[in-house]
Amino acid sequence: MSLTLKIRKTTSELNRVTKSFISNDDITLTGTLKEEQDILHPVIEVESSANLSAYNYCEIEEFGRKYFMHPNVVRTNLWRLNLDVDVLSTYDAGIRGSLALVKRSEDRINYYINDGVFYTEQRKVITYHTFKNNGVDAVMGSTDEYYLLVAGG
Amino acid sequence: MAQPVTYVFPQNYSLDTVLNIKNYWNDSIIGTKTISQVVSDAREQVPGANCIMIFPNANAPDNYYCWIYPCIISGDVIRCIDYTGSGQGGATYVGFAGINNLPSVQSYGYYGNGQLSSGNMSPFVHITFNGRDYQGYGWTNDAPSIIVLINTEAQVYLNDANVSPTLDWFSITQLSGNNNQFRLDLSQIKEDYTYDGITTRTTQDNDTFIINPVTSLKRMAANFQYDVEEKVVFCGNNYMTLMKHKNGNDESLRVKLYYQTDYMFYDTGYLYLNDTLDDYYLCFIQSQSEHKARLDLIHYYESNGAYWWSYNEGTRPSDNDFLNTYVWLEVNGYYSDSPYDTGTTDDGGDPGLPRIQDHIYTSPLPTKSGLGLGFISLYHPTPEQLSDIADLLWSNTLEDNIIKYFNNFADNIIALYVLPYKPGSLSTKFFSIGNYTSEIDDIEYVTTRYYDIPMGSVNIGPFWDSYLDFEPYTKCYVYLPYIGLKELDIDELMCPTDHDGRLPSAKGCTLSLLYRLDILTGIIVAQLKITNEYLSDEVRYQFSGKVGYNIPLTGQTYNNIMSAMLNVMTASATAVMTGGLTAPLVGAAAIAGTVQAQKPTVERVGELSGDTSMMGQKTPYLIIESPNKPYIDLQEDLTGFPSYKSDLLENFTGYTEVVEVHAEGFVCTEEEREEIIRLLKEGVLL
Repeated sequence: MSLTLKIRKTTSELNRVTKSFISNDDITLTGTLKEEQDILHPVIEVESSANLSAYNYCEIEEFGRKYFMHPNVVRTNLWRLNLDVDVLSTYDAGIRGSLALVKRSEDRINYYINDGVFYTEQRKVITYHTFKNNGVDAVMGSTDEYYLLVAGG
Repeated sequence: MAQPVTYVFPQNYSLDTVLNIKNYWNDSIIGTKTISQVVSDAREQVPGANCIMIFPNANAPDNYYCWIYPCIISGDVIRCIDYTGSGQGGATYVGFAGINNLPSVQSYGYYGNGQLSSGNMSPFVHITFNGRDYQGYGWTNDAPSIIVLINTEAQVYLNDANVSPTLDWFSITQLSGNNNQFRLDLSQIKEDYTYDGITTRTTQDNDTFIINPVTSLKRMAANFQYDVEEKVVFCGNNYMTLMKHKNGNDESLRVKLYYQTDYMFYDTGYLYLNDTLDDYYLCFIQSQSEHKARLDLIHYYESNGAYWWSYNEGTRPSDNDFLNTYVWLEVNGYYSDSPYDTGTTDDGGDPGLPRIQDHIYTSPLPTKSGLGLGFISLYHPTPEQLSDIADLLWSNTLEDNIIKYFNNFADNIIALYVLPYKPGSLSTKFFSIGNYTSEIDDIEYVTTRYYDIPMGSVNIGPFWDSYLDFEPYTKCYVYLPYIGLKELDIDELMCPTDHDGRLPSAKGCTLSLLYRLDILTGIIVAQLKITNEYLSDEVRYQFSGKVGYNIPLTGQTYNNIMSAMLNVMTASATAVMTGGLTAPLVGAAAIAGTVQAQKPTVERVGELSGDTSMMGQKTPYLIIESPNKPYIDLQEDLTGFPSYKSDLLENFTGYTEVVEVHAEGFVCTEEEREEIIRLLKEGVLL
């Protein structure tokens, strides 16, 4: 089975669904698969004069998948590429078309749901607010008054 | 679902009535069949038929031509099923007067081999059905003598029988989301005419429609094969199908609605799936004013709102079908206000009681004061006048001239006390005690006992505009002069519900304080009231206390005063420290947000009522304790903030962490699918 490996450099996080790549730096290698491979975690030896140690990503069109790549040097110009499938990037479209109940989001937020996401200090803020009538602190009366209660009168 | 029922009209026939079956062409009797067997034969030919009409020949009733017309009865209309494709779209109505030149309809007859086979014949009929006379036409006025009505899963109609038609719409699991329950759960449009004679209607009013993303046709189409008609929604013989088609680079979806096996208006051509700006959703359209509802599609633009097609006249369901669907929706609580959609009716989540709340306004003050009746009088003397009164009380003149009510003249003095309040305007008169009127003039006296005293207001609003503004993170206390310190429910002050029991969009409220004073006893009632855009001076809290202090006139009154004071001080001494550590919130113990719940409550004000209250603070105030949250730059990018919204993941951006996900619609290994779900639950960047 012939294979075409597209060796790439990505700067994206592991958990980013759509990866971005350093452009104009891809290496394409073609060859023939000589032995049994795990399609999700293939280990492929390639011959290349390019320094593959600087690369960290690989796409194999025949497998229909994209991989994180960990290159090892066997000897001069012979590399062993350990590949692990990047399921997020490989199934980008399908993931985005999936229905989900989202717990945490960057852009669609309900601040009134308490899931402990906010960190607070031990210090607390205590504020005092007087009741006011027309901007003046309210009191029952401005002066104290005598009252005399008598029988009859 | 109703059990199958068969009814034979007229009633002197039964399903076991034996008919002589004649050859279609030459009238020779080829055998006998019961009506039940004839019905079975007809239904094999036309599965959707729910009745057959068997017409007699000239020698009725014993010898029957088997003009057997498979028909559909819908409401009070009987319609023969037209399979000739003659152009009228199956709308060949039998029994409508004045319609001429009808195309031939498919009819059936028994041929020499005893098998029921089809032929062509113009219809003729003269029957009475549901109390209505259908005048015949055509080349004969002979009426069918036998009409057999067969219940279908869709409708039950018996001649003059009071049987409610049943509808039970189901959908494929992809739509209903309830494994094996098949309850239909579509998008909805409310308050629209089901037919108004125009091609399309539009709305941008989000209150008129509810989009259920699961019913997206684009989403469903992703899983369909090309050029295979897939049934997606069904109710007996009524169902809707979708078929995906590809022509070059254009992908489209063809929708058909089959009504009573005959497909209706909804062969609208193609809905193009390549358009990335919009989507299509299956829905019910319901009109409350017309009491009608139907199955339909919404064409929805994110920016422009929704629009949908109307039925064309002549190819729409009958008015009874509209009504039946409307009733079904109403009975199934499709438009209930329940925040849940469980797909069942037995497991709760379907509250019926409205949350309308009643207003609580300040009641009027009492009107009977006991003053001005001659038993007691309440004077408001100046200090100088009070001194004159004291001189009078100790003089010989008073002892000689007053009629004594009590053994001791001093008993005529009931109380001397001080209040921090004076009524607005008081009348004056000569000082009188008992029935003795002195010469001390222009002394004010009180005739009204109860007074409302506004004690100001304060505005309350959120500081964080998040759950930190609510219990247990934020707490609120109010100091009330002459009463003490009381705790308030900060949740209610931040978000008081409106009259319909809904949380308002506006946050916070104005808290106003009213003191109601009994000037005769010094007893006060403090009322705290809430005002916001929905509420006006609604009473929420009431506390009582006592204002003022007594001045002892005799040794007895002094003892009484001191005794009361000691009781107050004893009660206060036992309440030095309250509150304490409370259990941390589940799952939040590691987060410092539980600070407020774990901090002790410290008493700031002891018992401060009665005589002691006059030495306390006289202005009411609120104390609000809230947490201090440090600003963490770009936290939403790193951890996300609470969302708890359900939608397609393509409608979220940035950091996204899911509770659950339906990772479906694409081909991968199960190991990969589990990995995807795991990563989505840990958090990904879209």
